[in-house]
Amino acid sequence: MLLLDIHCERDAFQLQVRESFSLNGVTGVMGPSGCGKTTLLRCIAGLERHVQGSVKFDSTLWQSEAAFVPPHKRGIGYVFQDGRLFPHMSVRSNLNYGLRRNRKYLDTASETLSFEHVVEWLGIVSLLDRPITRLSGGQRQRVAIGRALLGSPKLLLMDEPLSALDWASRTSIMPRLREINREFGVPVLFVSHNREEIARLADEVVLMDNGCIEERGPTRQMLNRARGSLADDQALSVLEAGVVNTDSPYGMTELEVDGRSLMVNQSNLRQGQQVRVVVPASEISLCLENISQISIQNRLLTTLTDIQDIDDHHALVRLTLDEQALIALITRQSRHRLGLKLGITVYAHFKAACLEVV
Amino acid sequence: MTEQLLQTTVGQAVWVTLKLASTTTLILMMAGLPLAWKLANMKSRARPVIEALVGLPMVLPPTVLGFYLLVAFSPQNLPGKLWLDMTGSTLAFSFTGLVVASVIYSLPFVVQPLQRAFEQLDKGLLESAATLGAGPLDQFISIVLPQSLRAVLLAACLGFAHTVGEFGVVLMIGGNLPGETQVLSIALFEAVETQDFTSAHTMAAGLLLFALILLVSLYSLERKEHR
Repeated sequence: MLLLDIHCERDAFQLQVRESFSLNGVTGVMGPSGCGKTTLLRCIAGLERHVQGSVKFDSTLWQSEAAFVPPHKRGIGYVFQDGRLFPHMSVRSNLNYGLRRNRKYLDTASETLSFEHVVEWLGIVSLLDRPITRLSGGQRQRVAIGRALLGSPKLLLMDEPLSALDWASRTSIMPRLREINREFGVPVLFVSHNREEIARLADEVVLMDNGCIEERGPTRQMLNRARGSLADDQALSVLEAGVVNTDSPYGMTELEVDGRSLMVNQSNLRQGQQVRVVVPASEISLCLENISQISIQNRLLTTLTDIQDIDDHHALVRLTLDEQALIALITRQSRHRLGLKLGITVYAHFKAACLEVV
Repeated sequence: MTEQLLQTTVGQAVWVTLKLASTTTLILMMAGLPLAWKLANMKSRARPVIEALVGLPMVLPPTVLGFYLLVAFSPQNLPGKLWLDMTGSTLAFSFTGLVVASVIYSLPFVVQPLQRAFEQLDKGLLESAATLGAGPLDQFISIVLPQSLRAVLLAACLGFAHTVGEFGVVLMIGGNLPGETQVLSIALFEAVETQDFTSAHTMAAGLLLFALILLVSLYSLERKEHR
């Protein structure tokens, strides 16, 4: 539990946050650049000097009118956007930096276990004796994540850890980030301006704008809707699905969402596994009748529960399955041509190839 | 016989000079590192005043500094009196007095390169170290020093070399006691005065060579840094 009541003024910018975070799993903080996401994280870490108010983590008061616990005594981990590895040390020494300094809280056996565990889990065993200058961007961020984890943090703060990376490194690290919370049991506060990252990683989404927290809620509830500040042409929806059949022909995997079958072309999934599917709104097309003579594999029967024009040309449609919902982006012209109204039944079509499964 | 005696005078001067420069450099590094760090991170309005005080020996004629030190060392004034009460001897015309003077005289040559390096240091690394559990002193030792290693080396060399090269201040407060306060530059001056050109040549050439070697090392160090 993190209790914040802070006010931070710097140059022409103001941050004003009064919230409590339960910090179950991964909390994703989202918002346009300059909205105060990073400042919020820095205030929690104790890195921001001109901040007033109070910060309380579980039963420990990190900051109040009277006291200020410096960052090195807060027991946090922080992964910076630019990694901030120590250039005069090898990968191993970087990883050991936090481990050594937090040794007093750990017993020797569990400590060595966790070093090997973390290093293997991140796939950086072969890099251990390399100098920092000879690492790629993706390798650097892996080391930075490992270094932060090895400090045995009570709270892991991540500030756009993937934004400086190319697409390939991003895709290879993302699944690791999703596992951190489960694997090491540490709550994560994750800042990103990238909606897809948030959709894939966060359990709870916090929306910030102009130095304030605008809105927050469970990820599905926040993303899968046709209104609000995320209702634009970048909209996407998140589905929670179960893996029901991994031996479908042609290497396809069958998932189940609200009793409906969903095909994805991903072959590394396990039977019974719970996965998250990210569907971009622009990839969904609507059909009023069930057409089977079509290359598109995924045709879900849905009920139209919301529709909203978002600009001069486009509208967002909310399509409810049973529990869960999809968001589709269509043109306003289609909206009128099809005569879309609340409550009608619609088939949502989308290609198996456009889905991100995590 | 005369030559042997001269050998001893030169030898003594070399010994006094090395002892003075080493002691001064050691003290300068111990005082200069925290001072430079403090200055590099200082935001208060006192900063230019302190910087000016530290830098004063660079523009002041050494004789001015020497004169005021001589006044301060006098047992009639508070610093000299305190020292006399504490140790039973005076600071003027003593090796300790020379050390005190050299530390003040060479301070800017140590503090300025250190301060410049500290100012250029990526402060993000320190934040990173802090979140990993390192306190301020720990950060200084584990991050700041290794990151500024070249500047630390440069500062020590400059402090040492500048102390070897001082003349005016030593003349004012140290006088010319062989084996005690007679450093090379003074011994050279004395040799010329007494028309002992053999010794003068030996010492001048020695100092020239020392300065040359030191500067070549420093510049190649800088070259490496820019690479």
